[in-house]
Amino acid sequence: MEDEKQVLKSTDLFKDLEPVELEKIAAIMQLTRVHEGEILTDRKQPAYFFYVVISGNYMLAFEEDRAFTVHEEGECLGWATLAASSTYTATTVALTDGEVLCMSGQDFLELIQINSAIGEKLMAKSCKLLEKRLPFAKVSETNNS
Amino acid sequence: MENMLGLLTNFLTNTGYYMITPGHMVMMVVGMVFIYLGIAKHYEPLLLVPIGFGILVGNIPFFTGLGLGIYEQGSVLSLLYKGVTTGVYPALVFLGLGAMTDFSSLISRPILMLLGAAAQMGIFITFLGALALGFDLNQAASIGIIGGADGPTAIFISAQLAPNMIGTIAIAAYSYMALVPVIQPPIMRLLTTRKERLIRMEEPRVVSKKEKMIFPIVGFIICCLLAPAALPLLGMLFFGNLLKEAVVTERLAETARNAVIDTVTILLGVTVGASTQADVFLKWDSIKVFILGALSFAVATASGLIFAKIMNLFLKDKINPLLGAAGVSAVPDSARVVQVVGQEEDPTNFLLMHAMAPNVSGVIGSAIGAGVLWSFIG
Repeated sequence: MEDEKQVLKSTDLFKDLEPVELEKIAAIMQLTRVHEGEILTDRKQPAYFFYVVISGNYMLAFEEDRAFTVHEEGECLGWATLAASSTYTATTVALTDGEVLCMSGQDFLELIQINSAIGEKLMAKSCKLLEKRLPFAKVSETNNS
Repeated sequence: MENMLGLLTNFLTNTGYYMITPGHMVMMVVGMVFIYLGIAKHYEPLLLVPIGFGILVGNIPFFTGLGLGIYEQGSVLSLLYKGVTTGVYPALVFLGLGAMTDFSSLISRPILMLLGAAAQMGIFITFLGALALGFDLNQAASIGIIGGADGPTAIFISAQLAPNMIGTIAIAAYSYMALVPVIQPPIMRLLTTRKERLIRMEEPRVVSKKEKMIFPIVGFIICCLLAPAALPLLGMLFFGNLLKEAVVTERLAETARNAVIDTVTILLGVTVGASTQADVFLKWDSIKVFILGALSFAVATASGLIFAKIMNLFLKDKINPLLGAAGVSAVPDSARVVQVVGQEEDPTNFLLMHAMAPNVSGVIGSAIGAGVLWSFIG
């Protein structure tokens, strides 16, 4: 549990949370083993889960065969879940066996309903992080239109 | 041999297969649709799955007089159903809701409370519509509450005013609550411009612990003096919230928002579902209730949106009018819909936490609306 909290603390998204707030996030995160070839998020499918990478390599595939890999501890996958969006914007496939911390969108919604401060901090942070990532996702959308 | 045949015939005519009617089968399909929507589409699964299974339970045909049915004195189901008809379950749901709701977003921008109040227009317009369609005063008031998108309040008020319609009203209310992501977005897009949907909200101020502790006490006194008939619901809501914010009672708050609300949700869902026996449910009045419910919900959403636009005429710092749609309680789903529709225009615009303010004030607003109607009519 302590190791997992350390991983959460190291992520851009959660690093500004107070220890007690981090504790609450950790309580709804579940350590999950992932097998090579497993699909974590499916593009255009409902976004139900958010993941924090503990180990393993993962490929995020967007439209037009655009893709990048994620392998650093503490990187996040399935952002659409946090944004309460309806669908994922990328398909994420595990390239190797690994471990992730997994949180359901429903648990996250309940948590921010109980604790607005966590919700506000995470939403503000998500907004900034997504602004950085958005150009990548948008290129494919623009090319399509 | 004859005896054997007689026994066999007797056995066969006593089975549900022999007694089942097309009405039972229709209701079973409805139950299965509810279960499907809950499991496969994730539409309010914690409500739709128990209600859907309850509909199956309520539509297994049996001989009356065996003490099995929900409407038979002394049956297990009828005893469990007493929690609905006496209004105990809705009050306990409100206790749990209070213990799981952080009112900070509302305390930091109390002006957003007006959006929760505006969305209650749906209740009163549907009330008039139901009267026009020939329902009596009590029934019309109960049907109107569907527009509050607040299942427990709808059940509570129909238990008091129109007990014979609880099943229909509850099913309509929960169906529309589950369909929030389907019903609201087209209305939201229709009544707002792209420019309005792009409006960014200012970060709310930090709310102190002291403010959060005082809020349930002051809120309770103000709201219950305004609508004393809402006391069972609002009393429990604010009490639950006090348990949460007082910190020293965290153990009680934890029980209220987990064990209590989960147990009550199971009992409420199954018994409300079971109350929809085909012979009671499949009537023209039920269809009218469903039509009025949809209308009520649409009017409530539109009222919130339009009121937000009117507020913007007078405000220096404009609010995103999409927030108005969250005034129809249905916590937190309608706030989530606001977020989704807002993000379609600007993926980096996070409206969710701002939408929680009208959303939670919608819960208070619908309970007050119910209290006002009850005290006038009951």
